[in-house]
Amino acid sequence: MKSRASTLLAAAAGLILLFAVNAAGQAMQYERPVQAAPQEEGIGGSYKTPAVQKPQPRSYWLEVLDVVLMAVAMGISVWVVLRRRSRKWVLALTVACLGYFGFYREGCICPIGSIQNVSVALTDPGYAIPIVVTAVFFLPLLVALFFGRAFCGGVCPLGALQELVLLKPLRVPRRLDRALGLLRYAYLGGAVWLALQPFPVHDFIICRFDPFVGFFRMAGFAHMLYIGAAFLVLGIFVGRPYCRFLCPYGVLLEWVTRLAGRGVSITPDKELDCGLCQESCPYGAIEKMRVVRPKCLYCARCFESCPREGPLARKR
Amino acid sequence: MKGKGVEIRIGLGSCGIAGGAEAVRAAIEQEARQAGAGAVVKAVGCNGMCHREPLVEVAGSDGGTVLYGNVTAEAARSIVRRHVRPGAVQARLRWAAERVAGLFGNGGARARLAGYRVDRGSGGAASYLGKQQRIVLENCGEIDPESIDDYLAREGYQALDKCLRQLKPAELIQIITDSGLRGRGGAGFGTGLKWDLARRQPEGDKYVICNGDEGDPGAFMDRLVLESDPHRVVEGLAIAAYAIGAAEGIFYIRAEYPLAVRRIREAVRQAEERGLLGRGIPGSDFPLRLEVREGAGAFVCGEETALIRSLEGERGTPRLRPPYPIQRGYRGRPTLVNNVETLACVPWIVRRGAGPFAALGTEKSKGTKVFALAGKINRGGLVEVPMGITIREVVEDIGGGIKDGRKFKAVQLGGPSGGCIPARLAGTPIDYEALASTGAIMGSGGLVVLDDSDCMVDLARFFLRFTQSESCGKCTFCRIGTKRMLEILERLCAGQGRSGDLENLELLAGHAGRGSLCGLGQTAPNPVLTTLRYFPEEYKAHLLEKRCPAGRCTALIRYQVTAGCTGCTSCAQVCPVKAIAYRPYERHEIDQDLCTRCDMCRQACQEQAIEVVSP
Amino acid sequence: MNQTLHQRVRWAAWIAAAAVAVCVLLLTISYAAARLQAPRDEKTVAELKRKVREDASFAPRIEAEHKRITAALQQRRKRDDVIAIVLLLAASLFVAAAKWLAACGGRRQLPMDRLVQLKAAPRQGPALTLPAAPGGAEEPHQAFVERIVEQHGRSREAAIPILQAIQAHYRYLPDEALKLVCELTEITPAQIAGSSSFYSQFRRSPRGRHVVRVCHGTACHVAGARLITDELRRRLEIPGGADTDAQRLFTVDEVACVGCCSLAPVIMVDGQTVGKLTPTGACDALDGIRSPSPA
Repeated sequence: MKSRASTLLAAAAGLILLFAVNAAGQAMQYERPVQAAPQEEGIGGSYKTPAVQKPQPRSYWLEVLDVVLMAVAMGISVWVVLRRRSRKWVLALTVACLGYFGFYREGCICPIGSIQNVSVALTDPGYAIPIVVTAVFFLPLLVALFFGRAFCGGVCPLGALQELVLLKPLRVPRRLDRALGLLRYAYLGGAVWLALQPFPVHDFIICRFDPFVGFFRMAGFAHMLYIGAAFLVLGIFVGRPYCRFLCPYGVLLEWVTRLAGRGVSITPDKELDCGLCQESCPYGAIEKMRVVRPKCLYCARCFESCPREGPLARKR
Repeated sequence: MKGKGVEIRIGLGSCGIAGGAEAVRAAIEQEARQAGAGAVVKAVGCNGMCHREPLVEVAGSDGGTVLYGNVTAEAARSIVRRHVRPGAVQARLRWAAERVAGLFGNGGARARLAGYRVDRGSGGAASYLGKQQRIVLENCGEIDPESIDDYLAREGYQALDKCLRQLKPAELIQIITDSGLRGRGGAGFGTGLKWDLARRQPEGDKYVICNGDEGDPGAFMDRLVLESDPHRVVEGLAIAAYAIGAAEGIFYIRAEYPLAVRRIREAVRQAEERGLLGRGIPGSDFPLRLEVREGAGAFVCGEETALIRSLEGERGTPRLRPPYPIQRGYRGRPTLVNNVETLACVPWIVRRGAGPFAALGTEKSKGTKVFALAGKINRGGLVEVPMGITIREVVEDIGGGIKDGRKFKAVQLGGPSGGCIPARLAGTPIDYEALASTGAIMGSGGLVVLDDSDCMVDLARFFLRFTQSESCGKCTFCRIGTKRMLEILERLCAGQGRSGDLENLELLAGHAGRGSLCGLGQTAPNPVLTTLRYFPEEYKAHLLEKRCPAGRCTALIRYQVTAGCTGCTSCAQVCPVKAIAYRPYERHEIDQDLCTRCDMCRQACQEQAIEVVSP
Repeated sequence: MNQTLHQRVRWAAWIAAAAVAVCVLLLTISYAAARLQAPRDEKTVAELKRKVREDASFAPRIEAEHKRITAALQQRRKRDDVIAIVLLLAASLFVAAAKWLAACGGRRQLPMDRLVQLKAAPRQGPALTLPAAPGGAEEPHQAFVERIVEQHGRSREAAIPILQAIQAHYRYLPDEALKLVCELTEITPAQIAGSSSFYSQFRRSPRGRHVVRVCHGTACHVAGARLITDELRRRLEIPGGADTDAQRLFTVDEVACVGCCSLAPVIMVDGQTVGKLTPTGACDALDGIRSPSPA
């Protein structure tokens, strides 16, 4: 049992290392051909640059609709977790959001990536940031300010994908969990730094090394697809490895969640002290029978695992 | 209330320390040091609200006080910040910065103080304190017991001063007699009369002894008074010595009360240093010398003659009276033995005169009595009530009723010498004679409240086991009679009672009571006799049906999981003998062969799904 | 019926897993093939371009070559998309089936010791910090007893204070010290035997490094002091009749009353009182002390 867990953890560490090396290598080689290539007017004639952007730009109102949908989804997430305390509803929301924000919108309503846009906009007055992107960036933080990481639970397509593949969670030792969690800070710092650099170095690494966006778009660099697949396989045994150990937006959410007045709680008035919820949490977010809210990812597994919600209690 | 010159008092009695008051003190001192000038931190005794320990009280310069209960170290820090305006500039800046930083920290870090607040004017605290009348406890929890200045600031040693300057011993004894003060140790002998007898003894060496050998299980008022207001007892003892003309006083205090011993020693040292005792008293020929001796752990030494034997270095066995210790006591000289609480009343009576004291209480029992309220009660602690108040008022109004909403069954009064008074007699007033008529005694003041989960046979066995093991063995009826009684009770609790057991029990009880020299043997049958009188049906259930109605006697009960079980495994996790299999989400089962009836599963079960059955 | 359904779902899961594997394999092969093909195509085109420079009639062949490459690329895209969709479907089927099976297989059975370990951290209650146990015999008996006797006098009356001082120093009454007391004072061996057996404070045999006094006052009795004693004895593996564990680390005493009735049930560990205990809580309090290695 123990050796298997350590093998898997070694695999996780290796994967992350691979990811980092790959990213570093790519960042060195990559050049933007678009800038060097001849532009339309240079070519002359009736030449039109073919549409290569993925996904296609949409009408402004449809983008606003996406933001509204995201807000609604977070509202549902809060309601379902804090009020209904129902894992089933959370699962339904997860599937719905994965379908819409993930596969239909191809992972492009992405607060994670928007970190870069926002940081560039903050430093470069010439950079025009669409209001929609700003909204996408701040909305989940706003919700986290009051209720915690509702965005992570079910709404974020990256999280949703990993949430669904989690089959047999193993407990990550707390120290390792904390150590790996530090990677997020490095990633966040690196991403912001690269985004702020002037041109040749300038890069949006969060988007380029998004491990799952390739699945949503059903296209992408092969190595990214493989890394994504590896994350998913790992995600069968380790709860949400990307969210916990790499996601830079998670860092921001965590900070903001510390201020939240509400959030998931192991109800103090009727708890049993039996520890089964603590056992059920795949993210190590319940310590000493209490929720560590900054780490809680709104999956509602603890509610489901409570014997008071279990078969014997329901029979009564 | 916030400002400079704030005094923060921390209750540091034994029970406060047991409740974690040392950690609170450390936190408060650290915070106050940071604040620089602006706060005085003071370790005080216990104010009697033991159910809210640790207690912290903040007294402002305007005289107003705010009391906090169940204080944690975290809450203590917040209390300092709430009430103290720091003198140092750095502290002010730092606190302001930390307050802002606190907004970003974990929400729980800033403990909410409202929950710790004890409002004396309303709710539970008001009914707890409202019916009390504090004479003995007037300073407890408000002064630093290790500081004589605190006591002096509260009219301390004025009574002694008044005695030495204005009153002749006879006049003093008249005041005590008029006040109607009776011995608080249990028997209730008139204090004035006792003093008068002692004074009339021929001249020569006389001794006064403060009896602090509080051996009654369930009583702790002497400890609390000694710990929280030691100077009051010192002053009382000095006055008694003056009244009878004794030159030597001895404190005899249980070794189980190390803090009380330490504080009394300190109090005597301070009083001598200030010239309040001993030959230093200006203008008087009253050379009093005080000594502190530790008891060595024998219940019977609470009896006067046994106590004196023990002081003389012998086995603490009582002897035949007369001669009474008043006539021939310690070292064969007249000796006055008074209980701690009795002596603690004295300074108040001398200061205020006999009238106010006599105005309280009933015809024959005057003044107030301190009770150690404990057991199955919501608000336990030390309460001082005027005589004549009913037991029901004490239990329901002051104590806030029975814990966990269970049924009030009886009170046990007076420890192993006392008896059980059933709930239906709870209208009995607190009065020496009225209590004696129920078969119990006033005793030293242990008042243990029992609910319907307490077995009376088991309780009788408990007390008898105690008296049996504490019996000094001098009198045959006490030595062997209690042993035989205990055997019968052990049999009943094990479900092996025989016919005739109850009759034998009563017979033995009568003989043991009559055939013993001292209070221990004479009163030892009281717990058995009162329970037999008021709860015969429980004895019969044990004897005839082999069952324990209250579900206490382990040989007669079984533990069982009810349909309320949710399969949370809490019980399986605590079971020390693994009699419950670990099967989450399934109804648990208890293996009766392995079960030791240790009750841990029932305590662990939050669903109340484990019941005790007595077939 | 349930059994067959179970079987079917299991088959579905296996098939889905196989499909996932096949799809991944196909995609990999397709990718590898394309990767291999690309440089060859580039080479062909470059060759043709060179030839066009020499002979313009090659231009249509370049055109044709471009068309062929584009067509192949589009065809591969289309094929890969289909495979990817199949892959997604198969993966979701696998996850769903596996989850269903996991749910049917009952909840996870966790090893119990893990849970207990989780709870082992003492939850509440003041931490016990103990002063180091007094050493014992740095000072020779003779000098110590002489000092004590000097302090308390030589009369019979001083017997109990002397015994208390000896007990405070040695934690019990060693025979050698008692003999010295008899030699130095008026106290007789009979008196010492009498007093030391009469008073419960005195012990004639050595005791454990820490003394745990379980209060058996009335309030503690009704609050379950017996259960605490039993549990402590069981946890420390103290045999019946004895009061000290095998390592001489803890002595468990039952005492009459320590006077903290409002906090019942109470234990006193080396002079520090801990209240409002449960049997488990009492053991946790001791575990806090035990952790420094028993020498």
